Amino acid sequence: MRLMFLSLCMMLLPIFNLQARATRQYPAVLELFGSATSMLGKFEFNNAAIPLSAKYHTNFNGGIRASLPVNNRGLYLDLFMMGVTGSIDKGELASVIQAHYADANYYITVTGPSRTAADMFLFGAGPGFRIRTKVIDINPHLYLAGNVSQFLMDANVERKKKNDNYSENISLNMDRQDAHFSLAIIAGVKLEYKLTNWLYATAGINYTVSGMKPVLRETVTGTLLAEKHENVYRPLTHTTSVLQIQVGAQFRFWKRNTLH
Amino acid sequence: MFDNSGKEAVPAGAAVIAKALMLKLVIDEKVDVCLNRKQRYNPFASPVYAFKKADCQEDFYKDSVVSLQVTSNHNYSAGYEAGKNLLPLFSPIVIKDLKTKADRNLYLLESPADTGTHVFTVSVILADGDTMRNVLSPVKLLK
Repeated sequence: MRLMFLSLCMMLLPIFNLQARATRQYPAVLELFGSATSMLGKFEFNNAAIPLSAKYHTNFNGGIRASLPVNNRGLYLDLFMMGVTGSIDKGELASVIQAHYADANYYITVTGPSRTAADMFLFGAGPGFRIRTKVIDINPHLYLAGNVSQFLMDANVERKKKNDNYSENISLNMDRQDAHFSLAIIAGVKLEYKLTNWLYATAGINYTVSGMKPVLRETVTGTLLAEKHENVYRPLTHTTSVLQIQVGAQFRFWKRNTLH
Repeated sequence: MFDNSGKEAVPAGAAVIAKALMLKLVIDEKVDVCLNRKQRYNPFASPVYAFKKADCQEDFYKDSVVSLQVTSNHNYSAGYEAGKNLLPLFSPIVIKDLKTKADRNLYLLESPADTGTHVFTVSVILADGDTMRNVLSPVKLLK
């Protein structure tokens, strides 16, 4: 029995040894990156009762990525997490809100929005390749991610009826209590430039498609009789595309036989 | 008496749309200062006088408002003839809250049965039995 085990070990040894040598040609990679993020298109709240839309603003955010070598041909398994923080144009949103509530029988005063945010927290995994050239490494990648997203917004509308004492306060809120989970697909490519044996500078581009689900709470309170009612609007999932320009630093380790 | 037909309330003229009539009730208060001699047990200091509200009878309002009435010299609508209290026709007001200094607005919520000129009288009945009255200028209420 012992002899059989030793024989098996002797047979497998070259395979393990080859595998070990091969993976070490491509090092493990840990990367920290920052992003200039642009949410493409417009924020669209597709609900017939209260349609809202406004453009997104570019923001800066970041993330972390770990790449583990899978074979000796540059195939990696990448794990990552990153934040995407966007915001919705307050001025445009205020105009849309003003137009929505406009009524010839009322005086309208819109206050805010005091804050707007369209945030994603993405985490996931997927394959990446590291294609080596004489100058740089080229790293195309394709990921499947989970996306925890939220919209934040606070605005207030005062409506005073003309020729009447009646007035009401309308509070509009999108809050983190309505955070939504959906899947995301991320495709991108990075260029990696060697600074030292273990430190690389990177620059690249990422394109993300994901669903986000805005939920809007409209609370109408009559100011004279204090009557109050709340409407919660949940339109269909809002598909969001995000383009990111990323720069970062990579730390490479666990390699022995580099090709560089 | 104010005309609240526009975006902001303005002092009422001779005629006001009834459902845009607003009465402003100004509550003032007079607080008696309680002057108490408070001995400080310090051999190097003389006894001092200190203002200490706790020694006063807190939450005692000699002249607290117990009732509020708004009446008109003219029939308003069915059930609200001349001299009847029209307060139920105004936006709700909590009488016990009238002890703090603030302005309270009374918004008229119902139109009269017909257009007419009203002289409103606002009566504030105090805890000690006194009644403060204010007779307002005549105003023509439009439906």
